[in-house]
Amino acid sequence: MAVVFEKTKGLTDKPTHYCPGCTHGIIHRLVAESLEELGLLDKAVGVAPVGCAVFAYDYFACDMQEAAHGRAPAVATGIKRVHPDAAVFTYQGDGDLASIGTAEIVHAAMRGEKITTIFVNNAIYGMTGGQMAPTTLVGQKATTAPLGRNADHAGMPIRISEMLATIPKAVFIERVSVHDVPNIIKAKKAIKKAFEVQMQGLGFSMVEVLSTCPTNWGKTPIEALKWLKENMIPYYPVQNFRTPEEVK
Amino acid sequence: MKKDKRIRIITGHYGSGKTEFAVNYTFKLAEQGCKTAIVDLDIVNPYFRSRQIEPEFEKKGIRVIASSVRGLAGDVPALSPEIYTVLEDKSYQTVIDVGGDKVGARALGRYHDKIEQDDYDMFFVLNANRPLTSDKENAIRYLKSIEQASRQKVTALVNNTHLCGETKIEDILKGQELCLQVSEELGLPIRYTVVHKSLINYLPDNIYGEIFPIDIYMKKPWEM
Amino acid sequence: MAKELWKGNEAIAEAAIRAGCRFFFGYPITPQNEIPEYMSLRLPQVGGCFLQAESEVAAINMVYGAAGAGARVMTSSSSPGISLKQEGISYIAGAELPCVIVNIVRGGPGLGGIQPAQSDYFQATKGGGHGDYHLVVLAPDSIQEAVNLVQEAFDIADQYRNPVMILGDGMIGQMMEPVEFGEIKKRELPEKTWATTGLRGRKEHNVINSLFIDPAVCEKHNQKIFTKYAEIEKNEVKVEEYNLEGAEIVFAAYGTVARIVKNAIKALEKDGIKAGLIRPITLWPFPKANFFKAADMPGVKAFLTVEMSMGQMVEDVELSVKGKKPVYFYGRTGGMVPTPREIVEEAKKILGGAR
Repeated sequence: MAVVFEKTKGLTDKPTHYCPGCTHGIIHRLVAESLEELGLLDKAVGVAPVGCAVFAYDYFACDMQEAAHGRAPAVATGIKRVHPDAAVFTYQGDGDLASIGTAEIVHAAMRGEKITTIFVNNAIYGMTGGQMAPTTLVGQKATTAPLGRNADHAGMPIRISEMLATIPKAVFIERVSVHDVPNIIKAKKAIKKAFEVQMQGLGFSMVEVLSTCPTNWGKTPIEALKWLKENMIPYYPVQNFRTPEEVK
Repeated sequence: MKKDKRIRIITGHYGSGKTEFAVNYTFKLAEQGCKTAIVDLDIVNPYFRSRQIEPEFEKKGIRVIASSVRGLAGDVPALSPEIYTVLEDKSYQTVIDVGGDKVGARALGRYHDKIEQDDYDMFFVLNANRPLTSDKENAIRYLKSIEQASRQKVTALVNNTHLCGETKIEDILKGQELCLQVSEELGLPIRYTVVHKSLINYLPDNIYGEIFPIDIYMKKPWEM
Repeated sequence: MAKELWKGNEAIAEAAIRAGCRFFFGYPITPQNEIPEYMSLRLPQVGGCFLQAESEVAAINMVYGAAGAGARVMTSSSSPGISLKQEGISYIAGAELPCVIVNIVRGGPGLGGIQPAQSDYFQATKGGGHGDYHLVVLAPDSIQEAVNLVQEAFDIADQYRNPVMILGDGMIGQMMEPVEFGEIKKRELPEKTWATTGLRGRKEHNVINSLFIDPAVCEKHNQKIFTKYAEIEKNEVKVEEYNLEGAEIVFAAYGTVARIVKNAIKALEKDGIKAGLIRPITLWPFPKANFFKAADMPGVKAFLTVEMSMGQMVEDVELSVKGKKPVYFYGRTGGMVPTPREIVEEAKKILGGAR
């Protein structure tokens, strides 16, 4: 019988802990497939965050380090400086990257660290139970914003891709989404490109992936995908912000 | 010493013993009846700076100008505006203790317009036992980088080769050899050879420059 | 090799390079700036990498990454900066990564001052960050000893897969002393088969991690680490005993304070009082047995711990003496340094029964 589908070698056989309908699983697969297709699995080192993806080190089949909350870009810097030929990536959520870890991500980008960051933005703290994230939309309810985010009180949600795209050595920045198949295909293309940018030594690369959290949003998986499309994309436009000539 | 120019700028690699030389020099000037001021321009070292013995200077009527932050332990540069006084008031014999390396010398650069070209000597204190200035090439590299940062020219060399309490005559002679090489290359005179008072009687005759006997003022806590 | 004159901080940096350290991540703070400055000059010359991080927090996490990737790596800071590094140090200890951390201690708490202090003893020896762990803590009293200990620190770290701290008061970093760089005794060190280098043909992926969500597994991990600590306590204690024979009073002091105490001992001798000193060189593991034994010496009437703190190591001295003899404390703090005369007077007061 012909093989029509094979799981990527970039993932281990361990079943993930993610809630059904959560898009982390899709994003894991896209990263793992990209590494495999680019032939990088053998020299990849990933850095897992604190957040829902904290156990990512069990799922990716390459070497992995687990970082302290927000510090993944610093940890990745240490790894990359020791093994300049390795494919080093961080996998971080919005609390990890856009709140506690802003200094680390900005300065890794500023130095043009040759690493790739996969930034999963689902506009909520998943792990700790639905608290307000720096990316929570205005009016969106969270356990620490029970009446919805109030911009006067908590400020406006942070647009990380737009911010980092102002940094000269952050050479590849793209925001993608995984709410439907065409977008998933585009997301994978962006992730592959980000790794290519790293391996060519061009500078810092990041892909921001808009993601869902049915559990903490209180929505069915289908409703969640629809909510992402209708509410997140208008505020977080899906687009490429920067691409170096070499990989265009 | 009175033949030296009115403003004496003491520079060198950090750890060369600049401060010890500057302090001894200042006391000697005052002993000779000069109206003396010492400027502690060391913004590099947090410890072992001349301001540490301010009371002893003041006892001898020496004006001490250091940071505008009072106390000996600050680590902000905070250069005192009083420094202009002793640069401009020609009744003062002034010693400037500059911080180590080009980093320390940079602080001198901002006074470039206040130091008249025929009114100063700049000494480069050399210790051949300091690993980064132990050969001719490196010593000259340090000297040049200090000149560049301070925007002033070195006018003479000071051999201050020592090994703290373990100094032997051979160390001084080794330093003299290095100073001679630098002197030959750059055409700078060796003005002083610094030696601790306890060794003075053991010095041979062939010492270059004036022999400058010193006491140790910058003591470590267990040396007090 | 002939002796050269070195400043403490730069000698520490040079010793690290000679020990094979090729990576340094740090952030400026007085009075340790000569360490990163020296590293920034020298590491590129030997094919290494110096990086000034955006903060102490980032620096220690870069150390985590580099250590996990199998490198010999070091960071240095001074008290407030070391506080910032504590999170990362706890993770490093939890993930069992070897590295060397230098703390050139200044007065605290808070911003404190920049003059020498020993008030980070508790932080260094009792863990410092969260969780059950220890650093190996080495406290040199001279630049020569600092140079030797830094070189050995990398071996200790690699042998036990544990972070090692060099705890020097500000004086160690700032003073100049003659130094001779020698070879240290080579240890047989295990290969770093656990490092995340990329698979490079390896079958199983390596994971550097300190998360053990199942309490039973986490307990087991801690027990494993503590089995290692027991080995370290057995093998790695370093201590100097000075003039103990016939001593009426035994001083306890470490780092540069021990040198001041030695002067006090000489002064006491002139006044006909015999005094000795136990100088812990490893603050953890603490030389408990030396104090316990000294407490049994018939002539010894009391112990006097002298520190540049409000009294921290004195607690370990008390725990080691186990109440067999009285333990007293004398300290200066905030950057003030005790003088031999103050120490002599304190000892006389104790022996005269005034306390």
